[in-house]
Amino acid sequence: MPDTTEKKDHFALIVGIEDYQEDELKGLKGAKNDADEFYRWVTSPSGGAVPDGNVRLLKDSTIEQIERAFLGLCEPATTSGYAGKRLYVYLSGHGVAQDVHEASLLAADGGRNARDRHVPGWHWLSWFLASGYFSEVILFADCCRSVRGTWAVRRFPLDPINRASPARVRWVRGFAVQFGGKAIEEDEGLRSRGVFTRALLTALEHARQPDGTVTARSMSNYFFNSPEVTKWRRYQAPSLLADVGVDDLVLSTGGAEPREPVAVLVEDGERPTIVGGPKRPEPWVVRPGTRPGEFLAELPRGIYVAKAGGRSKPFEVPGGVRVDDVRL
Amino acid sequence: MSASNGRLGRVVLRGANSATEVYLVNSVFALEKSALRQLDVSVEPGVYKARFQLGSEIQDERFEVEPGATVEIAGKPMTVISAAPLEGTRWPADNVPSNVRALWHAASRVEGEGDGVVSVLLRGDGPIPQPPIELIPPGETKPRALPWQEVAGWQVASLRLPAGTCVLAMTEGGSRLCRTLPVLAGQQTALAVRLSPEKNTGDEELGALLRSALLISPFPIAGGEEELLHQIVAQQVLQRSRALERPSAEDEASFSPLALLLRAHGVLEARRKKLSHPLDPLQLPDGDREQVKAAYERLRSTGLARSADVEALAMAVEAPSQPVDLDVPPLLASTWRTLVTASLTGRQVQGGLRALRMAEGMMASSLWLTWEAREAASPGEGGLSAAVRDLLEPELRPSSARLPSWVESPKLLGLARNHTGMLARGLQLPISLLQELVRNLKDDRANARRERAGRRISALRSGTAKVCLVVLPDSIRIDPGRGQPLDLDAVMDELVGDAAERAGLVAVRAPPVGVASAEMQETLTRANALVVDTTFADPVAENAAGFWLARSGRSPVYLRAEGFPAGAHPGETVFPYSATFGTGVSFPDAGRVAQALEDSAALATPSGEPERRQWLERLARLEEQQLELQDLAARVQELDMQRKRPEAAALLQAELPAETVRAWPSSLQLAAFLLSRAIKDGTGMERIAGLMRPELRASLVVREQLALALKWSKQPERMMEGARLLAEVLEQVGFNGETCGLLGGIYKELWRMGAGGPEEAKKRLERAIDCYRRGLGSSPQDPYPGVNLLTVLVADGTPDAMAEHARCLPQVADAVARRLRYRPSYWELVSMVELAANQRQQTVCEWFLRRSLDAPHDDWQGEATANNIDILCASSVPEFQEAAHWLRPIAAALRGRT
Repeated sequence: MPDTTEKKDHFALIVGIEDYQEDELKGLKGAKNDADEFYRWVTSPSGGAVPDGNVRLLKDSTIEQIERAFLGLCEPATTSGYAGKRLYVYLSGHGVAQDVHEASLLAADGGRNARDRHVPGWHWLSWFLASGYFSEVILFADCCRSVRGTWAVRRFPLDPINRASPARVRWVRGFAVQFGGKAIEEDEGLRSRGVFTRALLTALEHARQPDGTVTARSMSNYFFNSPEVTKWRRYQAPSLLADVGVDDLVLSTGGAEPREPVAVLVEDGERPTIVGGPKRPEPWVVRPGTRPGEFLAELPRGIYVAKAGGRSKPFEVPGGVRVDDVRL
Repeated sequence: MSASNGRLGRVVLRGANSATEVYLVNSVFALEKSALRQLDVSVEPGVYKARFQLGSEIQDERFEVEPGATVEIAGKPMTVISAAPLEGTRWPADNVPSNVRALWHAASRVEGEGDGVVSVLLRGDGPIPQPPIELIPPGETKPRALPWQEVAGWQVASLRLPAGTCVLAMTEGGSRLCRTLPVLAGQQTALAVRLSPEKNTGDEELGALLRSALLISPFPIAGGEEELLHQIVAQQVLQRSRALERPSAEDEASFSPLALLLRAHGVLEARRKKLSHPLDPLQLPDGDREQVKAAYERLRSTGLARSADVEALAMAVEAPSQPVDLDVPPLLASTWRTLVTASLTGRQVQGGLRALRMAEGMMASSLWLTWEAREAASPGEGGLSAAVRDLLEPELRPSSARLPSWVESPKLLGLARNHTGMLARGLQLPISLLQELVRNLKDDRANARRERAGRRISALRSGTAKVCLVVLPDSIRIDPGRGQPLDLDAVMDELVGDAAERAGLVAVRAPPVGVASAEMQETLTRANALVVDTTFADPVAENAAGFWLARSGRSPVYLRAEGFPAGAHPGETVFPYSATFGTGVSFPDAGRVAQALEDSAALATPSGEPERRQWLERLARLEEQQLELQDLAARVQELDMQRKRPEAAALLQAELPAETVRAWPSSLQLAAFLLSRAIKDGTGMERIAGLMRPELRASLVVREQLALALKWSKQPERMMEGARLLAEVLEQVGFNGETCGLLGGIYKELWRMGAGGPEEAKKRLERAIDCYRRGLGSSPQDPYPGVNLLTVLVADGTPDAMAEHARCLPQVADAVARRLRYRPSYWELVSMVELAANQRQQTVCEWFLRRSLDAPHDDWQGEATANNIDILCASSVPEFQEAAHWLRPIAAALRGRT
């Protein structure tokens, strides 16, 4: 039974910025869509299940507004030293990277002429690692990581806390691109989407294990194999890292392992068998389709082989992506 | 497919070349195994995927493994994106030189003497008539011209040079980007640079350097060899902060030194990227440690031996290493990170001014170390000094008493000296360079203040200067919204001073005395314009505005900090300024303020010429004396930082003889008094107060601070004299948190000393409670009286006192919490310790104790809090007696005994 109860001690801060004050930064079209989409996932009972009241969604915000939102996250901890179990931070817009660990989102009032107005995602999340205000911190940043070594990293608006908490903080960090790379957005009909956010949300939905959970490790595997990520690899290779300890970090528990429809077209009409995917002794069930020689199956994510008449054809069900007809 | 034994199957995957990484993925997308070039593994029967990867290129193949069967798959040849024109590489795909070998041969044709050859191969979108690249040979400082020739659409240049490290500099658009190239005996080093196809992104040159490909091969180099491809792929893999998959022992033995170096650093970077901070110590698993160690041992016998890049490997695995001199910059950015981490744990990483200059312009990178060569006269004047100030900011804030901002400069240097580890980590500098930086550290703000003072002196000495008198309230004021101090000196220097200069005026601070004094009256009479800050209802400011209006018939120019209630000046234009914490002070429209000042000064009627000239000369002299006092302050603070407080006090006494101080104007007398306050020299404060003009001695700030000096004397009679001074202040200005807190502090100290017997002590405790109670009532957002009230209520311990204690706790908690929101300093943190102690919350108390002890602070600050905790431990209240066993160690820690 999936656990869809609200996670009352989970919090999220989502920032999407398109409308930059500096002219040369205008032109982004997908950052706010992406922020909305992440908001939908993080508040969805089958997704992050974070209560609506625990989520701040900021759009086209200035650095001061963003800082206030971060400080708001810290408020409950000022007397107890603890603010909640998990913190999600999602950032989308223009960005730079001051070092190999960084992805800094430019605030709406930031840019080449206001270099200090940025949110250095990892530096700020590291503040939470050190403070222990949350037990788990998760950062996703869909922005460029153009090298800007001379831009000083903006400090978190609170003083550093040096390992004050004995508790070990687990973390996940997903960047759209490797250090120095440029993040891409793509038109999808009437709207635009960041390539990374699209792959990220597909992964958060589909990288489910047989028990229905999406974990840091299943996400990592998904990215390694995702055709979407592979398609863009020359231009944009995402970076997903996690330090979650021995136990995996569960990102979502609210869904059954999704099945994808697969059509196998067999030349001579012989009923095919399909093996592979999650291990099981017997082949997967196929049923006749409506097209000549067509057989249909509902398969979870995995790598399979379809066999009929002495022929065989391997194929992948990556999850969240339509599977082309398998022809035997 | 061939048979193998048992139920398991066998998979053999072969990459097309030795640089191909091979992965085996199972049917649920989990990675089973990976290797470099070839993988041979027994597996459960099932469905699998083979992945062959060369740089960013990927080739997948899916297959089924039957029980007992062997599947062999050979990867197909792939090309890899690279700046280097080699067979098997391309950039872009349609632009590979038709004859790569001819290109490399041309690069190798070089005359002259030297151990090795360095070649640069350059290509852009169009013709490059004058390639913007120079080389500085090993051991030289002047760049050498390169003999360029065009071959197959490339610009090619080679030099024969002595072995060592040369610096390549690329100049374009006013910036000069640099990186190093190793020169090895008998080897050719080739750097292929593709000028960025992305235009107008602001990092064309940097991008070109970061994406360039470096190849090292026995001379003369030849194209298309697999080992060179190997070097390129190793660079691309390290650029992603990872290592090439582990090769077989046989393959590893054939690695070239460059490939070996890149792979070993990849092992370190792969580990480092999982750290929360890139400079945390690397804790390598045994396997990784052995690989890096083996690479180091092999590299010690190659041409790269003794370079920083190689020695960094030894430091990363804590093996014996040679000292590293960063004046010869490393090749890899990974090396820099490793060396910084190593220096933090005491390893020998040397470097001087040259390395520091490089560090100031360094561009962080995942692969090549690159930096922008700057023309700065000396290190420490540029961005790094601003970064040092930023990192130390909370500790640089003015203390609760009003100190002149110039007292801050020596504090900056002292803090920097005492926190080299923290700064080295924050600025990503090895300790030796950080020490060099601190030695050369210039305080930009102090320099700017000096420059402004110099301009004011010149203008005043011209004899025709128009003077803008500025009345800003004294004492540090707290921003009620954020609980942070408002830097009124910055308002004076950075806002009013600049606006006045734009209006052609010289801004001069009004004397710190009321309008009844002749000094203030003369200044108000001779000034051409008046600026009054109305942020706080300050009687001195209001009286000055009234005097001005009555005398000149003109309105002053009023200012007010944003977010504060409007002053009582209906109908007048009040110019707001932003004093947002952390971002400095600013006018929304500085031009309007300058215009208002100009208009106001234009209406002024000049008074008698000779007297005015004398007055201007006195103002100029005053500026000079303030600069002299600043120099003295620097020496005094230096001694104080060396914990030589008695020597500092003696120096002050010697340099400020009575006759000099007595003749000074009030602003200098006040500065000298506060300088004694800055080093807690109570005797000196009393001495200077005795020499002050009567009207200054009667000011609030002097009476309050003098009372504090009397408290420090620990003599009951003199402490009571301090209490009387404070009582007079309260009578004059009414109850407020600061004065009530000071008065409560004197009574609390008298009670602790037990002077006058138990009955008297009890009365003093009651007085202390009353003072703190009134302080909290009049300044509910000020935690200082509140925290102390809680403490003395526990000391009283009666049921009524404890009921009041319970009532006050939420209010005090709120006041303390407000102060924590914006980069708290030691006082804010230690207030949380006291609050948590009063709430008897051990975990919270200990948690904030650690944070407090991490924040820079003086011994007496810890002592003050420890005294309050002692009071709680000694209380008769059972709950506090029970808590005493964990409270006592906290007091001891604050005193530095644990």
